Amino acid sequence: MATAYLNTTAPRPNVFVAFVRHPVVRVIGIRLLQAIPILLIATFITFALLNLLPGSTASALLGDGASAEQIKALEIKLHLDQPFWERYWTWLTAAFTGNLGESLVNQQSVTAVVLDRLHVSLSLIFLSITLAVSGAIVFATVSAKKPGGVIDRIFTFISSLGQSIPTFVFSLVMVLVFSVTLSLLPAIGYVPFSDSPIGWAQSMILPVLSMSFPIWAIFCRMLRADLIDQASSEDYVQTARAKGAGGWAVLIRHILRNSIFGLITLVGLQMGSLIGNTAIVESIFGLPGIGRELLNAIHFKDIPMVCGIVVVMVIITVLANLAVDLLYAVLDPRIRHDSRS
Amino acid sequence: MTTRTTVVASEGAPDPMATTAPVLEVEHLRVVFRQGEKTTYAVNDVSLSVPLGRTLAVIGESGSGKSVMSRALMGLLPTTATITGSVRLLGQEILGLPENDLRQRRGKDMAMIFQDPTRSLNPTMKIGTQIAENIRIHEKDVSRKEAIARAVELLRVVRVPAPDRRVEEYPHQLSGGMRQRVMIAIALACQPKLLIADEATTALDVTTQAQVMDLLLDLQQQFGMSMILISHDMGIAATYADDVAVMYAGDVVERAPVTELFGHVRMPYTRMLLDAVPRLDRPAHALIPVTAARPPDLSKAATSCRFAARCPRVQDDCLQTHPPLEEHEDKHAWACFHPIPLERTSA
Amino acid sequence: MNKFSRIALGAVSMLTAAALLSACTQGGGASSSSSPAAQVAGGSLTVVVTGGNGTMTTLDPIAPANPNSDMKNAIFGELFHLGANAEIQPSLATGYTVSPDGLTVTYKLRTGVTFSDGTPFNAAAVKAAYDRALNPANGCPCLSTFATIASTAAPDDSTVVVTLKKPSPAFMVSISGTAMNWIPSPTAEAAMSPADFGAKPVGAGPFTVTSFDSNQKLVLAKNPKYYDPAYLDTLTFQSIGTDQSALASIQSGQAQVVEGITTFPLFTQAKAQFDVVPTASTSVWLNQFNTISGPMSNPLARQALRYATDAQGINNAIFEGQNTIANMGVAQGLPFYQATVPGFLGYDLAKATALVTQIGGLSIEIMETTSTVGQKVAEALAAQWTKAGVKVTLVAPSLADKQAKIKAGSWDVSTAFMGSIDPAGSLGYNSFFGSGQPNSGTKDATLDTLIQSAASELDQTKRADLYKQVAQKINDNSDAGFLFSNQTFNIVSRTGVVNASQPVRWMDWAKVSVPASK
Repeated sequence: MATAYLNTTAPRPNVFVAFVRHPVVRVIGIRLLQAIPILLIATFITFALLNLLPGSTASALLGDGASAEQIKALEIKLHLDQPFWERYWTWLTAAFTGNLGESLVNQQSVTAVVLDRLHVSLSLIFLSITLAVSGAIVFATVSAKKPGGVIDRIFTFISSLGQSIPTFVFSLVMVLVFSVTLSLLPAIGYVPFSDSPIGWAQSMILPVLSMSFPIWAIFCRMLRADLIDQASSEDYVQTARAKGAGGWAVLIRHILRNSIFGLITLVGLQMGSLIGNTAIVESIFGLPGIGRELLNAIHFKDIPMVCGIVVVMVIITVLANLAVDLLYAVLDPRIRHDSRS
Repeated sequence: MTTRTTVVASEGAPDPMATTAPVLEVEHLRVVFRQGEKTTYAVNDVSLSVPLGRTLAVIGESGSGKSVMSRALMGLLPTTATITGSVRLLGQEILGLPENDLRQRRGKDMAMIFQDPTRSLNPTMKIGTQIAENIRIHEKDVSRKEAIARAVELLRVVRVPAPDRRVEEYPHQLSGGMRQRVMIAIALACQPKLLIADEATTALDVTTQAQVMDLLLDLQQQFGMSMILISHDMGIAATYADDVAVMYAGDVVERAPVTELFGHVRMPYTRMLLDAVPRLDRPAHALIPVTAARPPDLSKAATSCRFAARCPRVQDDCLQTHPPLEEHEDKHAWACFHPIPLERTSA
Repeated sequence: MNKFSRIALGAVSMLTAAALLSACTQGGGASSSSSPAAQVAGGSLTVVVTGGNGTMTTLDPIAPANPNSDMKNAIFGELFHLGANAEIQPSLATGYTVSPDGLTVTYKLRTGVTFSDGTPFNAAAVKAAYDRALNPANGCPCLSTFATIASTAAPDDSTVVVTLKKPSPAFMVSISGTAMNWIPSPTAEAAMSPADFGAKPVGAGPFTVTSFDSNQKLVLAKNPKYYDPAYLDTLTFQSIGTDQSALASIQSGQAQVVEGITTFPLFTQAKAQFDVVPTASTSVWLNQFNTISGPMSNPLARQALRYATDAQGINNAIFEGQNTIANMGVAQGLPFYQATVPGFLGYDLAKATALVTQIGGLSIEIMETTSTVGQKVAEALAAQWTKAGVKVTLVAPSLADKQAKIKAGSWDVSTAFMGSIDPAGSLGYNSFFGSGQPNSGTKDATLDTLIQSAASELDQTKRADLYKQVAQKINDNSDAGFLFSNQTFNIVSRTGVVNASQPVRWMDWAKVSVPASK
């Protein structure tokens, strides 16, 4: 009886235990669990900071001509007369049920607004990273082929430009060149993909260029340095050369393969600043993304909206870093096989 | 030693090349590194030759220039190195060849095995791909599939168990000894005429060392290669080499066939190296006679005997003139004004 | 790296300069005098709105965060339209009468009008809109201005009677740009949630809402049922975060009109290519003094600061000379405006220095507004006053903190702007000079009486005379030093749009057209 019981049921918990203990599942689980305190801290700080800022939602909404009584009345209407921790608690308990609250400014559901705008910011971020990474691979490899050569010096100069020009300035230069002077691309505005794929592409080119240039520059410099470093110090490079592999083959087939891991880590590290940059780029180009919405919400101290967007941005950052971890596991055979055994 | 004799005997087999021209001939090879203000005379006027099927051991301490010399032969030195002299591979001058022509020879006519098999294999590439790469570089018409099939064969030749499975594995899944076998398989992929093994077994434990060395010698026989063993270990030279060149501070200070050298050491430095080898006939924990001294200064061209500071036989002339390497006896050359007198007792 | 960044910045500025130059020369050939082209129906127009004007949070007429009034005018139409010189013109209402005692205002509505959802536009709808706006629970910013309304009634479909608590000669001009002038469809309002109504309200104006993306984009379509149909088929408002990209959008031909640029140097650049049209101003900049306590209670100190102020210099430096010098608290073009007022003190550094010496030195604090332009004005003033030997510090409190400081009397000078369409309006003389008022630094019973009687005087001639006396009294007593008009400017394409250079406070988009496409 006991044997029969064991025989039939034993494999079930084993499958479950194996699943839970699987390193990939564990990495995902840990990352997601880590997100919870981050979200709590981030939203609490947002609430507290917005509360400390001078001015109030009511006076921002009512404008310069408002009287003290008007401001007071609106504050009561918006429950801004309650202490902020009470409002935070109310917001937090609702947020756990997936309801991020209502905008203080126009009563729209924060969840709806964020979901409506998220795809713009996500495609901006995704395209920018893709462009920056692929651009960095091409430029850094060409640079590293002959360090100190003319091409390397030109590329190094361009990438130092990328690191020193503020995104704001670069975006405007792009607009002046491609929209105003050459009339090739729209200066502002967004066309949804569903309306016109070509229009969408045109409206995304300049924002994506502006977003990716500074991170491209960082990726490019780091990758170039790593390629050159590996080329001169790693023994496997010597092995490859001893086989008779040519300069490009050694660089691309061997060194780049190993340098790519550093690049992936860097992408994860840059996610934060990239998400922050969406606010600038979306404002300049008039894209309906969450970054622009965040700026507007901060202007009005629209706390539920600001917190809702902060929540989404934190989640994006956590997921992006998770993706980096998983990508590592997929690409690096050393990690991949450890997890299998 | 017994194995050696049979191999040496078999070397007399009818191969016309053996008597006509050596596989590798090096004359007056010099390597100077210039980096900014700093100049390093790493290799000074080295002349060597390796006949077909024979093994030359190049012995020296670290910093003696033996590794730089081997990389100079392969054309693997960075651009900061200035190489002069002559290196003839299979009768053709390869020094000063354009990189593109030179790399056609690397991996095909001459191949190299490095010290640390853990770092010498690309960690992100499958074993099979790394072996196949060597084949596909030099034989353009070989398909990927064929190259992998040959990689499996090569792994079998270097006695890696379950080669079918190993080609699909990554370096970190193999032990150190297995990795070095993979390195050997890569080197052998295009059946080179010359194999340079640079401290090929130093990173391995003693048992594995012997296995790998025995494998190398078997393969040498099987493929009819010439070999240069770069080592700091006199024992390896004595066991596996036909000829020995001893290097010190960028100079070859003594060169002779192995029996001649170990029978009649003339150069005091070689003596010192030999005495440094632990021997069973010495009492355990006995102090080994080593003359301590600062490492020789390689930033200036030699004007005196570089070993003079450590030499027990040093005299005034050693400090004034650089002793040239001269063949004082048949096939036995040394660079010393005051060599050790002939002694009939074996080393 | 340092060297690199300098080179990089140099290269960028060169690139920018080159791009700007080419952008300027491109349109340089266009004629600057646009001949009045015949207006044709059809076509679409894009208006880019930037800065504070670019904020479009909700379209609900009573919502506190308004977008530009011209957007709501386009959706809801107007009961009465306010002309460039604040003359009241009929629109959805055909006329009005005021009872002799000034307590009853009667509107006559246009008949046969429907909201775009089919609901009839009638007196009941107007009454519903007024009641909704005046319900304190709804938090309409119009509430304090129209606290004078006692009740509204709809005796018949085309008549609305508004009863006031006291006579208010400013009432009719004040409804412009407020919920009192924008009537939404009561059926739509009842059927929709506040958020939905704010995003897609239904009005009886020249345009209807096609789509609204808050703070991003508002797309309007022509309302064919409007009594005086608009020319344009579609009208798009695109909100943008920076003035530079707003200008770039019109330079690249994407937009035809830009509203709300406050980066004044851009106007110099824009003038070569486009018309820079000042909108009718309703307010003026002023330096207000704390005449009750502290160093500024000394009239000589106030005179010294007025002499030390070179308003034209600031106008030139910050506003590219676009603003008009003001002698009083009423903006140019509005009723009761006077170009010169006796007692106005012009720039005279020698006199200022002498006065400062005479009173044994002066050390003051300027409260500036929190806007960028306000900070620039205050900084320029500080520099000018320092030349006269005055020690100046700058602070930028929030509106609430500023009013708290005024209440406590712990302030010296406040640099801000005042004024409304009628001087009796919410930011008029009373708020800035009445005793104990939130923005006032003056306690003067004579002035109070003058301001109060001017606000309730029904006879226009007598009223004008009273406001003349108010302005002179303020100048004579140096209660404040007036600077210049506070204006916004629209940038208008010379070729892409017809009749968009209206010298009005809010653009009437129904009157604007685009050239016939060839």
